Amino acid sequence: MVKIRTGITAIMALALASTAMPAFASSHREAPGITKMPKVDNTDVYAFQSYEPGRTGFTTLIANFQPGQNPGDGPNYYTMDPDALYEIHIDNLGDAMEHLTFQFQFTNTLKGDKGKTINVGGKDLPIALRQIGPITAPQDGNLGEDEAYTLTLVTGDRRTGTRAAITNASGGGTTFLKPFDNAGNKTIVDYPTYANQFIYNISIPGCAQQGKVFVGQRAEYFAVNLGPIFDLVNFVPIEGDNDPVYGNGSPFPGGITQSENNQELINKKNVTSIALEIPTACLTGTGNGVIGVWSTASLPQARLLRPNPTYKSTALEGGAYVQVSRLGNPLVNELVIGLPDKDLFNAVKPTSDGALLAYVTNPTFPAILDALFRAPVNATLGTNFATLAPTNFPRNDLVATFLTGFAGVNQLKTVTPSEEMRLNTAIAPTPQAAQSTFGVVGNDLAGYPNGRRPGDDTVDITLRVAMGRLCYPIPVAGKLTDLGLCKPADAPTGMVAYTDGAPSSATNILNAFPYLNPPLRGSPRPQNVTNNSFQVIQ
Amino acid sequence: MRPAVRRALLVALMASGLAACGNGSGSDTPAPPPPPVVATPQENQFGANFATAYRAANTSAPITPADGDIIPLSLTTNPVNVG
Repeated sequence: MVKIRTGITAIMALALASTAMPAFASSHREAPGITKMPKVDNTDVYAFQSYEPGRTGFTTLIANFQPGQNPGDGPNYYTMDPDALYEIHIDNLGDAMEHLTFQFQFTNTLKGDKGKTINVGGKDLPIALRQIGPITAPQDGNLGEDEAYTLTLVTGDRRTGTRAAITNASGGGTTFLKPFDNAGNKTIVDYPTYANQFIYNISIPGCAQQGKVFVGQRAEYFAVNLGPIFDLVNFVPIEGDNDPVYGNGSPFPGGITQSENNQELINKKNVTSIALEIPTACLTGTGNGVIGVWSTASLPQARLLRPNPTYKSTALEGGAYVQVSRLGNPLVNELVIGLPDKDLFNAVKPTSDGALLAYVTNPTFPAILDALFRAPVNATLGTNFATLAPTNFPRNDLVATFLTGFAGVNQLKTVTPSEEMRLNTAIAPTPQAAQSTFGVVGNDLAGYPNGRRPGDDTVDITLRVAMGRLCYPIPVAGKLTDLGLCKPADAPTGMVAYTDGAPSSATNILNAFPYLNPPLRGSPRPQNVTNNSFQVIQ
Repeated sequence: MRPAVRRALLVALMASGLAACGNGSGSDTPAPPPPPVVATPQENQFGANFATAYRAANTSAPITPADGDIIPLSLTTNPVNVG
């Protein structure tokens, strides 16, 4: 194993002058086309065995949308797109086809077709705001607009398969409500208690046990040092001290250290979550217990904008739905897929991923890191690295990570190279306090890339895997195990503690469905706390 | 050979050559050319008034769409492949 041991901070900085870097957030505004459609921009997907105490046997699926929400973004905040089709897909056979789809469609309704009104000088007029007083309950009288959704289970092809409504286990209704975003503690005094009223027990067709659903605003928990990364990696991306989680025993002089100041999203932004908790037995079908998960958003293909828009309709739309956003594993469309193909990646099904295989087998991102840092490393250390990046082509270690899963861990019954989040539901969940933020490479098989939990630091995992960590033995059940995908000689810096300095930990978020924390409040300042007494804030 | 005679022979030769290109009867009218292939504009697939709006000049006033101007929204069909 080769370790880089001496300081190179200044020299590294000099090396950053001329090389472009790709975007680096899980899937936030990751493709040119999707930046025009923020309401359907899928930012993160999580899939894991529920680790909430007492929920053994359930699988949690979360798809986040609408990136970069400032807590104070009133008066409209972040309703979902009523024209869109939001979907979470399950492949439980391995043919890269969806066999189960959970389909969400939203509606916004003004109370009395006007929302809240007040009488001003004898004229009863709609107010400009969504609320006119404190809100405590669903369909609260002080709220002028209700956001609702239906949830449909499609078995088979998502368009031609069998459709069945998922219903409220209490009363059998087919409409669910979404909470108002966290405007602040004058509007909603206790946001967690308010939002928890929108967690529904659901009856799923063909499933003996009930599940749960929640859709609403949550606090971002994607750990990423985004700005400096965009700025040509304007830091030394190696752990600089003996951090017990992120270090490797060889602190890199001048390297970045873990700090909440390095967070771009955590404690700064909100996001909108679609969360399901489904009995695992109702997801696995006739497969081997591994499921492939991805989410999508689609819009009607034809649209005529109205020159005379109304609240109910700003455009006339028709035709079939066109998929415009897709996400399985984090960072794939950010770091792996080339700029000309990013919107295509968003638009296609996993069955088409073979066409983009070269981006995985011959990845550009490690080559960029090599271009940025090899010369200063060699100059500083007096070394003569021919490359910092792995040299095993095709990169079978990345093919396993992103496209096939790992044999014996999270491969589906049939192995079809395709970009899905693969989760082996037979691997028991790790309790919150015992989770490794490094997931599988941190001796925690219940974490990324065996599914993904909110506390998994997928930026640092991906950095390390991209630079060759899997070419070295990894601890499996405490025993160092050679995956056989590549050799240490293929990855000269494969054991370096690469990091962006933005930490994450499962203990900083909820230990119960929907796991992600309640959203940061719009008011009062500081906004990076929430109006409740339960949320864990770093 | 006098020029007038030469012209007459040339005309006769051309006429016999043209006749040889026919089916020999000399009395059939030539087959009409195939009609030109007119591609259906792809925007027509979404409804006539959608197509009209699509083709409108970018300097014209927008139309006010009405129900039925676009083919119905469908959860069960695949999108049209727009070239």
